[in-house]
Amino acid sequence: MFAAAWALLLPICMFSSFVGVLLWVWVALLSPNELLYGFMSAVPLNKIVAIATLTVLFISREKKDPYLDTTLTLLLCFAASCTISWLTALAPGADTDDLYQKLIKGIVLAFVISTVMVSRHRIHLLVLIVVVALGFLAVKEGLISLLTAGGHKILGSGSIGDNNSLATALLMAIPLNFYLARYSAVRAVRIGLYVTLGLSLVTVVMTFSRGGFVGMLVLAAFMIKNSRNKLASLAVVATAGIVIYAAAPDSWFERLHTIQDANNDNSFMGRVVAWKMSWLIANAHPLFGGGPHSVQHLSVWTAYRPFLPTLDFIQTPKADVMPHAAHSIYFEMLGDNGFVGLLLFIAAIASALWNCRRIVRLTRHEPSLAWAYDLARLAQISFVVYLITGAALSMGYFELVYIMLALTSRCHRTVKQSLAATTRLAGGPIDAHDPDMLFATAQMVR
Amino acid sequence: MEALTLVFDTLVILIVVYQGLRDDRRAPAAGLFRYRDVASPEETKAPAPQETDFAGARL
Repeated sequence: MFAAAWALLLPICMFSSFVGVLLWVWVALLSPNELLYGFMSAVPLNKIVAIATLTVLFISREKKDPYLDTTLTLLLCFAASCTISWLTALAPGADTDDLYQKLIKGIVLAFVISTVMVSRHRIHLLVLIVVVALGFLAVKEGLISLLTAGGHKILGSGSIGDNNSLATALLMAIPLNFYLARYSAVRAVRIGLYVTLGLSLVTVVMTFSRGGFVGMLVLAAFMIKNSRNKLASLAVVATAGIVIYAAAPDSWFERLHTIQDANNDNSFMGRVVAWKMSWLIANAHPLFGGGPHSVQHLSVWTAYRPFLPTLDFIQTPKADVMPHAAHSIYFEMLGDNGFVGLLLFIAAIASALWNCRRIVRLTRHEPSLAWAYDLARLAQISFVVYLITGAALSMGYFELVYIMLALTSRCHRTVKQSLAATTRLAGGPIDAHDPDMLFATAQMVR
Repeated sequence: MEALTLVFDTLVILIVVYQGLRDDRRAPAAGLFRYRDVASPEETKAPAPQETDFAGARL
């Protein structure tokens, strides 16, 4: 059945790069190959959709608006920096190549999104696709957890990572889910989205992720802070908190209690050791780091392990013989791509947060752009959740971050075009020879 | 459960893609996943509209 669906979907890709982008985002976030058996599990859907979309993008005459703003420029520089890191990797190999390809595909996707998603209609469907892709995992895991009364152990997802990464991904999607539930016109769709939102919370709890718990607290605090009606938000958050407190299994609370004793927690101290190793790699290769996930290579880990005592101002147990993941987006970027890569990565996210702030300021008193105001406020929350929970997770190459960077950049540009067109329309006649203004006017009318 | 959810997810994607392609060429959108405008509290706080001349230009 899946093969039949794709037999329908792929030709549609060839008609419109916009539809291609939607499919590309879905495949990138869900990685449906890993859920399938038989010949479909070996079909490189991501690559096929990417090639089809790019081909149509270059040859078709449909609406597109390529541009370069601060976020996209930083992203371009980040891609260049990561390319140098990959070329000079300490332990080149197939897994290094795969990770580099994943990153570059994510960045190319971000540029395509910024070029193609030129209207509110397209942005709305892009957000919907993100929620549908991640909602699959939320609904599946949440329902199984409820049906087994908490007896189901959530291990994570092949496309996203372990249980901690899954919790972070779902927490990032919850604000987008909330946006859609608010702005979808059909009641049944709104109900479905609220159910998905609830099941996302169930799944986050049932991952038993302590990072997920911290993420939930951050999400709750910022949902109240960024809300238009703070009292109502406080009531909703309090109700959700009470339900989770009453329904969560005892083992979840036992797991959370271990946060208080981080110094004696092997899992946490193992992460600190991995952070130290990433720091050592970055110190030895400050500009471009050791290459994609170099810290996870036995040869690199073994080479830097003897230098660990130089960082003993933070007491940690002796490093394991076997390598560990970086377990932090910051140390992951630092070890993999050096100080240059880390700075560009943080600068790109800071620029996206600045875009959100600009959108909020521009649309505060524009009722026709209230959707952009809400989307920007909620996207800010997604980024904050990522920046805080990502501090203890290796999620620097997670596609959703690059999709969100493109989404906020595009939304900022669309808002500016709409406002420019409104002002021009109110202030005088439209210059029929000004293609930018005609384009902006078309955006406003849509 | 996984198979059922994947089938449902794929169906949703088919509808979204169909609607995306159809509604992209017309406004307002009319499909299952169309958006709506929500009245915001800020609307009541919005500054009074500037006075305009007959041509609509701001004075």
